[in-house]
Amino acid sequence: MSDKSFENAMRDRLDNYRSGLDHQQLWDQVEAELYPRRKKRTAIWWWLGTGASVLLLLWLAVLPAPELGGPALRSETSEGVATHLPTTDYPTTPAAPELGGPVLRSETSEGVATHLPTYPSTHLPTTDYPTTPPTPELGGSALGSETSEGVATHLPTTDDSTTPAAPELGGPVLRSEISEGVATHLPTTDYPTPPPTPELGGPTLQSESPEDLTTRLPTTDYYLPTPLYPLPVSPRLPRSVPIPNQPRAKKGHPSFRSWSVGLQASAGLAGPLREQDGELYGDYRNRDIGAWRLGIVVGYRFHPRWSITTGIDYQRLLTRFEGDQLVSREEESVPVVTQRIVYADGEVDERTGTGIRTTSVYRRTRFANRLNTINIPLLLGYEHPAFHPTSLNWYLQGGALLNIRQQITGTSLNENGLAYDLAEADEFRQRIGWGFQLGGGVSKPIKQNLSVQLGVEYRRFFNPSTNTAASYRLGFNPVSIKAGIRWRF
Amino acid sequence: MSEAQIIEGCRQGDRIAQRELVQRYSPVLLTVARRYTADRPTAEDLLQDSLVKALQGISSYKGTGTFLAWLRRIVVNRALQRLNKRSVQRELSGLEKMPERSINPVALDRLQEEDLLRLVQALAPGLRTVFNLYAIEGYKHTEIAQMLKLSESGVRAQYSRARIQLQQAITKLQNHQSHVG
Repeated sequence: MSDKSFENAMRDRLDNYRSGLDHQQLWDQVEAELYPRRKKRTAIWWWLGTGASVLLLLWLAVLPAPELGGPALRSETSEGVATHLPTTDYPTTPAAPELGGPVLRSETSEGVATHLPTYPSTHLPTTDYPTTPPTPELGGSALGSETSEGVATHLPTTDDSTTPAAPELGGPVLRSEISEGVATHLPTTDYPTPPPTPELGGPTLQSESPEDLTTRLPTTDYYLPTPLYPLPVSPRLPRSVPIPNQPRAKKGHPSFRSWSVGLQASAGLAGPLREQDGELYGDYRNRDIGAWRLGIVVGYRFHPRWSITTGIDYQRLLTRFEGDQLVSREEESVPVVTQRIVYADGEVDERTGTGIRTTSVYRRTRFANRLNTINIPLLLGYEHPAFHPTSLNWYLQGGALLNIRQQITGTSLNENGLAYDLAEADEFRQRIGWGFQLGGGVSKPIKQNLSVQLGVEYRRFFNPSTNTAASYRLGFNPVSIKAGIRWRF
Repeated sequence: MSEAQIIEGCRQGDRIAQRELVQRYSPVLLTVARRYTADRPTAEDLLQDSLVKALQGISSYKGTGTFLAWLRRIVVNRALQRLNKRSVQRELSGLEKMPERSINPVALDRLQEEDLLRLVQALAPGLRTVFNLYAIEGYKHTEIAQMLKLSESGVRAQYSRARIQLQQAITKLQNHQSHVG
C-alpha cells in the first residue's frame, strides 16, 4: 500500500467519522463559558431585588397594624361623625296644623348624596316609604304598592295628581301628597310634593321641602355596598429556562419540552386610592393596603418560548374601605294624607293613611377588610429570552383564573360606637376571571434542575360581573415583587 | 433549523441557535479534536474550547468556505496552540530511520474508526499533529512548517516517522485481530 493510498484511506475513514458524545453536557459547559460576564451585573440586580423585597415585606407587615388595631380607626370615625353628619339629632318637623296631623317627613337620599347617591331599588326595605292603601273606588292603584319597586312602578305618574280635575267630567282628581322618601330611592320618578293647587281651592298638604331634607340626613337605610376590592391574583408564571438545568432530550423529543414545579412567594402594594361615584355602589373610597401570596406552580414547556402554567396559591389581601356606616335607624308611624279628592262641586274629600317615617343616621367610617383568596390559574405564556440561566428576562402570560375568596369585613365601631370589632366573615365565593400578567426578573441555577428566581410582576385579571353589566377586577395588587424556587424535570 | 439560520442566530446571540450549532457539528468536530489529542477527555476539552471561540468569533465567518470547514479550522488552530513546541522539537531530535512495513488495504478497511483513532492518538504529540495536518487536513509541508515554526525538512521527517509508526501499529493490530479471530 503506497503512502498516498494510505493517506487517502486514513482520510476517508477518519474525516467523516462522527464521535458520539453528550450534547447536553457539552452545551452546558459551552454556555457556562460563553456567559460568565453576566454574573456581576446579575448579582447587582439580585441583591437589589432582594433588598427591595425585604423592605416591602417589612412595610407591609407594619402598615396594616393601625388600620386593624382600633385606635386610629376610632378616631377617624369620630371625626367622621362630626364632619359628615352634623345633623345627627334630626328634629321632627311639627305636623302641619292645617292638615291636622303630622307631616310625613322623610329624608331624601339626596341628603346622602354626598356619600351614597343612589342605590338600587332592590336594596330598599319595603317600609321605607309611606304606606298608601289602595283606593279601588277611585280606581287609583297609584299609591297602593308596598315595595319600592311597586312605587317605582305605580307612581311615576305623580304629576298627574296635579292635573286639575275636569269639571265637565265631574270626576275626582287623585292627588298624592307624599313621597320624598320614595323619591329618593327612585330618582327616575319625578315625585315631589305637589304644589298647592289654588285653582282647585283645596287645602294643600304641607311638607318639609325637599331642600330642607337634602341638607340633612339620608332617609332610608341602605346596605353598604360591597367593596370592590381588586382581587387577588393568579400565581406567577414560568420564566426563563436555564438550559443547564434542562433534562436530557429523549430520542425524537425536543429537549425544551419539560415539566417544572415551583414554590413561589410574592408581596406587593395594591392599587392606589380610588374614589368612585358609581351608580350602583355609591360614593366610596377604597384603598388596598397590600397583599402577600404563597403558591405552587406547575408548568409544561412545549416550545422553547411557550409554556402552559397552572397551580394553586393562597393570597391574603388587606384593604381599607371608606364608606358610610349605619349608626341608628328609627321608624315611626305617622298619619299622612294620602289622597285628596276634589269634586266638581268644590267638595274636598281627604283620606289619610299611615306612613312610616324612617330616620337613619350614617357615619363616614373606615373599614379594614381582609380577603382570603385561593387562586387556580390556567395560563399560556411567552418568555424571552428563554434560555438564560442567569440573566434578565421577561414574560407575558394570559388565561383564565378561578378565584375563590372569603371576605372578612372589619367595622370600626361596635355596638357602643367605641371599640373596634372585626368579625363579619362572608362565605367563600367562586369566580372565574380572565386576564394577563407581565413580569420579568432573573433566575439563577443553584443545583442540577433547580433554580431560584426573583422578579417583578404586573397583573390584571377581570371578572365578567354576575349581577351587573359592568365588569370588575379580580386581580388587585397589580405590582408585586416575587421570589421562588423551581425544579425542572 | 438550516445552517444559515444557525449562523444568523448565533450572530445575534440566540441561544437556541447556539445550542443547535453545538448539537449539529460537535460529533464531527470531536473526531477532529480526538485526532489531535492523546485521550478523549482532552479532546472534549479542546472541542469545548473551540466551540466557545467559534461562537464568540462567528461574526468573522464571511461565508467564503463551508461553515464546517471554518469550524474545523478553529479546532485545528486551538489544537496547535496547545501543542507544546518543545515536545515537537524533542521528537525531531530523536528521529531515526525505521523500517516501513506494507499494510494490507483490506485489513485497513476491517479496522474500526475507533481503532484507527486510538492508533493516531497513541502517536507522540508532534508526530500526531504533523500526520493530521498533512494526511487528513491536506496541508503542504511548507504550510505545516510555518504553522509549527519548524523547518520543512523537519516536518517531512516528522510525517515520515508518524506514518511509519502508524503503519507498524496497524500491522500489529491486524496481526492481533487475526490471532484472536
